Amino acid sequence: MTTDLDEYFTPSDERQFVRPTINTPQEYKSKDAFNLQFNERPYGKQFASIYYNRLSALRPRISHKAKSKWGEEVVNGKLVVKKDKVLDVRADEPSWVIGTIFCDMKYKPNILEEVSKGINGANSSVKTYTDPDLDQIMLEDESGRILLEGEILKDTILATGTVVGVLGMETRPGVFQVVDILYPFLSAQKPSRTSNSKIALVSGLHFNGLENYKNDLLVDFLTGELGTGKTKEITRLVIAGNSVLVSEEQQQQEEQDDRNKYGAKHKSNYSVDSVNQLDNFLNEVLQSIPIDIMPGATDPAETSLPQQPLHKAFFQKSKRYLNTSGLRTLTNPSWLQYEELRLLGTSGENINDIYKYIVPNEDQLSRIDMLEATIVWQNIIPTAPDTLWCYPYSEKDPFTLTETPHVYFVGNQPEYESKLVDLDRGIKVKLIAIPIFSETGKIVILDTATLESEVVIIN
Amino acid sequence: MSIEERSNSLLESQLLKENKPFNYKLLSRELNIHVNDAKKLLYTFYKKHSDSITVNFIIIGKHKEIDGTTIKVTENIEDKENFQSIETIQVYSLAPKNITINEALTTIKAQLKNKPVTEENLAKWGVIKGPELIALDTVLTAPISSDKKTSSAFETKKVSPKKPKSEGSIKSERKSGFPEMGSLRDRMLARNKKEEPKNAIQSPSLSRQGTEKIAKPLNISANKRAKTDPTPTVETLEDDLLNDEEYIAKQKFEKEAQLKKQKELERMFDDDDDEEQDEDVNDVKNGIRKRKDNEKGLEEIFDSSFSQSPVKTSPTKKDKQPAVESEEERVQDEDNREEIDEPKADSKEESVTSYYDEDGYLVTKVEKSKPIVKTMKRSPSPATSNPSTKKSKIASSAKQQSSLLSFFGKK
Repeated sequence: MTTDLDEYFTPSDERQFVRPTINTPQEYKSKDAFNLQFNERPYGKQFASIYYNRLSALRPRISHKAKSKWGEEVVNGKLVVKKDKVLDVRADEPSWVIGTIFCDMKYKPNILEEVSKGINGANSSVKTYTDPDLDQIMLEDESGRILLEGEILKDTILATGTVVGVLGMETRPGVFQVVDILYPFLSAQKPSRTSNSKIALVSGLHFNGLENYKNDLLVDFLTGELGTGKTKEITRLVIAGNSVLVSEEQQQQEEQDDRNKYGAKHKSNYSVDSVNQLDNFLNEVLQSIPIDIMPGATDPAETSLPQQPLHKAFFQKSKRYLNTSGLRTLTNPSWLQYEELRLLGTSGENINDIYKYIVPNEDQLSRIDMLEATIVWQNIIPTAPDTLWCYPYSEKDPFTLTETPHVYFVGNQPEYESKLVDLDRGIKVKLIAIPIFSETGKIVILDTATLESEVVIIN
Repeated sequence: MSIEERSNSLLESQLLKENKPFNYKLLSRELNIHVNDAKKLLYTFYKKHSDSITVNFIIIGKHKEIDGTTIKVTENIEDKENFQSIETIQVYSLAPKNITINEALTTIKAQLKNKPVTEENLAKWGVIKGPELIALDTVLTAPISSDKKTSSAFETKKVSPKKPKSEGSIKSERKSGFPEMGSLRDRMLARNKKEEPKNAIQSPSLSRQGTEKIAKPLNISANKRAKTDPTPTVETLEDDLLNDEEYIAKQKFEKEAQLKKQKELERMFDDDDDEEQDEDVNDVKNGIRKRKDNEKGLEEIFDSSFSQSPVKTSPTKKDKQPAVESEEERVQDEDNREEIDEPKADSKEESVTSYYDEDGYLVTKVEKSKPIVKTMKRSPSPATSNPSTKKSKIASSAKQQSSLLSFFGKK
């Protein structure tokens, strides 16, 4: 070994760096938007009201846009008219109507079928719901449904539960030929987003009780012991779900233990080893950097959205940080505010589910368009309660946006992607798809001042 | 001895002779030096012994094929050729031949666990100082006040920053706020030891003591669980510091809470046997009372299971319970002594042996089976400073209790 390595060795720097702080307000708007009171959580209600509330919240917002865009529109020499109900559309009369998209797809789980076959719980292993030859996209409202057709649909991302306005004409009975689509009027965005420091975003740590050097390097990277200059500017770590993974072996083992205990298959995302490993990880990292942690699909939290914060009892070692801003357990999805910057994040279930509605082809592998779509739809989880489990809200649809965030991040995506989208009225949203750390070794670093993001790979 | 000599001798003895893997973190903790120095020392050592150990390098820089900063762990330093630009190369770990990095890490981490983490150490090792810790640490230096009014949240904050440290401090921390079965046992043991001498005189009462302890865990765990309620609670208590007035106040408080619970329970069971209850209300005969007392234990268990249900009494009241608990017991011991005179008489004839089992529980064996049931009455019941209320309460509890018993009887 030659000594020319020496030149790369970091100079001895004995002084301790002090991490800059980022102000995390104790109270901020929508902080508890997805919180459910634990003793007032009745599950006896029907899900229909979510759709109803969603449609009634977004209908005026689409209507507003449609009036200005389609108000004077002439199709086939006839002036376009507005129809209040889906079933009011007439043949040979160009019109526009607002409703909720419903995708009837071959492989999409169907609750009625499941009940009739006696299957309990949807099969989450389905990779895609679509079969391009058979899929039907429909528009529905309180009155009924109408089948949508048109070239434009092929290039548009649509998923069940999306509220849109469509312009077109009934060509055959019950079939509406679409020539244009409108999405809801964008909700307001906080005008100022002053903030200047960096935050790190990571998801899919997948602690499984086994030692992996990547996790330790991540700790060292975050605490600054790895010695790269980047670290000392990072003020906070956001963990966007799936911190724990119960491997199939473990699961089988546990299933064997609990077999037929209550006459049903017992599945749990809880494993002592994994949770302890997570706790140790947090404890080490917290010595240097504050953390916000969200639950995800593989974490020991409830399966229905919005997922409530991870239980405090998981954090035996890190619990002393729990009542401070050092360690905050968040819901999934969750609103965050750093200084003036407003962030909205999910742990990825929404995008992973929307992905299943998209006909798989090579151009569509990217998830970033879906992130953008959810912002344009003004609904971050349209497919709940259809293909994602969700709490039966009766008063509102919490996933419908009433505010557009500055940063919208989604965890547990196959690859890192980011995009700064320019929407109406000068609203810009930074979209970030956070990759699964355990598979890619990637950490995303976001500069909250410029909204530029970069990725660090532990390989 | 210079640091380099210390490092070399340490590595020689541990790594070469005992085959223990090292990474820079462990070396920096062992010698209490900055990680950057540790990395260099590892490299110096590696240069001398490159043929007998495996090394893992970390290369940080821009990879030719990958976007973004790459942190690459490799055994082969030639990987650096794949980098467009290199920020730094370091030695991550040294290990005996044929040990994978993950295996090495398991060993290393086991050793790292024992290293005390303090603010000064973190600074010395080169961990970037996080703002939160500083805030916590300044609070830490303030003496821990014994002010009982401070909420547990605040208290944990004060104690917390002391970090892993000694076993003892961890244990004491554990007690606050989180369900932790291990420390429960310790607590029970401690109480056993404390109270033993006092009761040693009469062996029958010791026997009660014993069974009470066995019944106890359920109760405590329930109270602890209740503490996961967001409301800050009064945590540990120094019984001795409580003056009489506070004491009585707390007892009253406790009693009210108990009464409420009872009513709650009554409502739940009341369709069972209303008539029986009417008769029982004024019936304070000893025999019946005895029976009811026996059921007290059961009642506690049920109370505790309900204590998690949202319908309950207000959380603040509930939270007071643990605080008064042990003190209250002691008083009960005295108060109840008169009441239980009768059973005592029988129990004197029994031979009683008690010992600690391997789990630290006090196990009491009594020859006759009957007294064991009796001992249940010693499990925490409301204090008796006001006899009349107690009687009526017991009476009112009667119907609900008997219905409970009959419920279980059927099984």
